[in-house]
Amino acid sequence: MIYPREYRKDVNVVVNLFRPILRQLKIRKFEDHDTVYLTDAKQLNFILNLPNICITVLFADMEKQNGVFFHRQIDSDTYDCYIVINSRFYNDDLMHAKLCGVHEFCHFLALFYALTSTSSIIQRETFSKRLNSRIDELNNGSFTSFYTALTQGITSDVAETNNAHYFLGIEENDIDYVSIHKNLLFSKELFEEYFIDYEQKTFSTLMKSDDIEDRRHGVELYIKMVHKAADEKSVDRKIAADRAYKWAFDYLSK
Amino acid sequence: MAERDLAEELEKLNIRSVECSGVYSKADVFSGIDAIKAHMALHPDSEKIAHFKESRLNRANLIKAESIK
Repeated sequence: MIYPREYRKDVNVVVNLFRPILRQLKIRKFEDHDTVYLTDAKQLNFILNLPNICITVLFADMEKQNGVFFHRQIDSDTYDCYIVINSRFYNDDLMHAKLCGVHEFCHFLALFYALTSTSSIIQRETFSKRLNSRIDELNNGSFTSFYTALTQGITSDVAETNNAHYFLGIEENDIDYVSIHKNLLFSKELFEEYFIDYEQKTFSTLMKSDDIEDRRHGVELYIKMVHKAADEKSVDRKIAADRAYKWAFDYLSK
Repeated sequence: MAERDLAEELEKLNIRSVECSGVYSKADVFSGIDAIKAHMALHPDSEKIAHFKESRLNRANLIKAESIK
């Protein structure tokens, strides 16, 4: 049973509900993508006021931007969303494509939360005001705060690291988009696709040993699995390691 | 060539929000808009509306079946 606000508040619920949508978007594949319709997602059937909303991943040659999220309104209750990712990432930088795609997906979630928790009048006013301000910024050649991070290379800093960037201002103000972004990028569930039960038990046994060599092997095993999962899922190893460090203690009781 | 008008193009496509990642660049937003236009030429709104109609029907049937269980 999922309570009405959990799909916005509880990060684990958010990941369970929306990771399947993210998977369907196949962000790491540079090919024509199918549109994903949220009304087809059975796990969202409990949301009674689910709007007609769909999302498609597209690519474009961009000079400066990593990606853009757009939403169109087809009619009063039908929304057509796009994540456009810079095609240059697909030459040799899937990690950055994924980072950007998940980032834009969090903007999609912010829109989804706004649509399912506020009235259409409030939405219209908010979107209109925000869009006008964005048009002004674009016309004036405004820069985002992480320009430096972008130009210095690809690091975890490229992803916006504050909640304010995602907030539309009409959804509940305690939604933790940063945490949602991190979890969608590299969750414990995803890690355990690689760090399976057998490895978890081996890790636990090694780490509980009195022999320092065993414990060293335990650490090596953990690092190896984190790197494997990160590499295969196109996630920065540092981001994966930061996340996985917090979970290590959970496996000691295996 | 006349400069493209961002507000006008967004309005024509009924685009209600634009969220950028990276350095804000009008030229790059236009590239995104062009990608959307190309997609819409192959997949018009009518196709999406038809999909939603069918999807809604399936959803209602499924919810009904689950409530009977």
